[in-house]
Amino acid sequence: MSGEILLELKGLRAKAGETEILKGLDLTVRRGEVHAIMGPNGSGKSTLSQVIAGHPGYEVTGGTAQYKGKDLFSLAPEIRSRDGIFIAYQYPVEIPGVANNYFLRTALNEHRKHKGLPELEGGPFLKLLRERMKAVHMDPALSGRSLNEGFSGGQKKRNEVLQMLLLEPELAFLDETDSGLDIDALRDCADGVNSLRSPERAFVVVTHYQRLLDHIIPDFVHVLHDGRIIRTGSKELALELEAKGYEWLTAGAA
Amino acid sequence: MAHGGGGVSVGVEPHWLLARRDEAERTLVRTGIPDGRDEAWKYLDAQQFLVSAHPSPPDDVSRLAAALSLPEAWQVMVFAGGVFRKDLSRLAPQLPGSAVEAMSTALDTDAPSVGSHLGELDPMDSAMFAANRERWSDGLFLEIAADATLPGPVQILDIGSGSSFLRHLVLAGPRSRSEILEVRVAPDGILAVGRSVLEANLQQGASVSFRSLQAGGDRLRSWAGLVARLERGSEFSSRQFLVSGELARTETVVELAGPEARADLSGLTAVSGARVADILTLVRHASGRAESRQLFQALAGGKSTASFLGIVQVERDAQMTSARQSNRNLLLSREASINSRPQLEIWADDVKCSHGSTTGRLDEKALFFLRSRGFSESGARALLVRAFAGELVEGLPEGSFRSLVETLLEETL
Repeated sequence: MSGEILLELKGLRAKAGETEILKGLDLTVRRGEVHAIMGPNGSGKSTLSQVIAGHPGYEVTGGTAQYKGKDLFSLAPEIRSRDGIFIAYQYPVEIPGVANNYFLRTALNEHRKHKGLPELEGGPFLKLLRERMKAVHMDPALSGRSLNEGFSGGQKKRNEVLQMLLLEPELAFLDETDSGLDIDALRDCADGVNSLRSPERAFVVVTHYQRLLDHIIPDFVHVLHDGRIIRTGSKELALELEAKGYEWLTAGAA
Repeated sequence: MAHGGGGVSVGVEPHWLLARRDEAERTLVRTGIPDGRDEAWKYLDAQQFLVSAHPSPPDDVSRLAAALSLPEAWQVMVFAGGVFRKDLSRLAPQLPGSAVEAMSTALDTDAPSVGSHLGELDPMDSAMFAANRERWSDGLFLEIAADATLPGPVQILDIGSGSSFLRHLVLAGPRSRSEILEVRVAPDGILAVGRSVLEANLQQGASVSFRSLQAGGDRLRSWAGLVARLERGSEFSSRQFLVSGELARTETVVELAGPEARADLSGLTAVSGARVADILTLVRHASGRAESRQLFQALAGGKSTASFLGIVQVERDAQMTSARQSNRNLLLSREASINSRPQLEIWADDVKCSHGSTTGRLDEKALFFLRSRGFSESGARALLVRAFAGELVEGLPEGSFRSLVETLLEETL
């Protein structure tokens, strides 16, 4: 692949509280690519997504991150989002009293304003929303409900993918989107991602298991262990990990 | 205008009324002005409601009257500095058997009704109610005939000017239905002190809905008493919004006097700066098989203080009472304070009573999530605050009262 570099992490170090979790992580993501990051629990997978999002609970202690040639860490979380970064969260938050459709429209319009596009009013927005909800097989009734409140695990993940489909990011991180999903929901989420794949966009799929990668075929598979990427390979690496587990890699690295 | 000077024109009043003012004065002397030792006045100084103030400029009064006469009101009764302003009011033809008029008028035309009910529901040992009973100058008199339904809401527009006492009297006949909207306001930058009481007497099956809003005046100090007695099968609902002003205090005293009566009390306080808002409720279940519901919410930012003291009393014979009380608070800054004191006094044994009180801060996780979807920090905050306040605003019918509440909430938060 020879797309332009979207994200470049060099020697990234970060800690949560007093614990250092990322310990010198290197990753280069170009437009058009799909990367999978796999690793055992506690390897730093979720921390990576949170650091990319700009979560205040994580402190970057070293290394650099360039997004579209800019210093990622100088950008507020909302600017990162409007500028094309999207994180599909492992544990989507519930916000009682905030209607899902109102939230979606406001988020979309913040993005449109940022891009210099006119805001989308009620009618055209609803049309777009209905279309996108259909694409992820989401119950239309969920658009008027409070954001994620009382949603099942599958509905929450579909809602994350729905947000991605509306916001059309350039760089999307999917943080263990497959966890807790049945096979139908898994396929719907994967279809959502695949429908967005284009030479302009890149995806980073963070997962514990190989099965999501049957649906979203990665160009690269990275193994994250103890806050560093210890091996990079093609999609076959994921199958190998599935067959052999992580120990054969981590034993030597630790 | 009989009360053109803004004071009480004692000379024209009937003897029974003068005697009642004397009684109130004696009560006041006996009780004295409450201070911080009084549990109900722990967070607010009663003296601050008893200072004098200069009248507001007439132009400001006219401007506020024009701006805040609500289009959805069927009649608007404007009071400025405690004086009925017929010239600024919007009146409709009288309904047969019912009366919608100023108390100053009712003293001539409906004296027996006024005389037999005025002040009868006041809590006995309350200095503030007594002060109002002694010194009130005017107010709304609303008497609704049996089975009558008012064609639309009656609005009380209480414009602060100087220091005033208003007393409103509502006599709701059997199975009658009425709606009252109250807006209390004062020009910005000028101290105004308002102390009003609304007394509502609901006969069997009557329904009275009361919605109130303190709508502006950054130097307005407003004490508002609301006292209601509910006979069998009657329903009283009140929703009070304290979203502006310097000091605000409401005291709501409700007696459920007959079975199947239902009181639904709610309120939203939103304070910022150095403002203080205080809500007190006393719900007394004197009869069994009656129901009370309370939901009070407060948002406090800056160095403000919001307090809630909610007392539910269930008397020995009030079996099968159902009483619920909920107080939910949100602190928006480190220096703001919230005081929440629910109190249940239950003497009957077969009752369903519950109360809950929560105080918290904005959910940081939700805040971050919204930002990571492109919301600005202030936009995310505003959305979460609106979500918190939403329940009490959403329940309001569409109209200018609701728009006013929404606008003021935006400004305050």
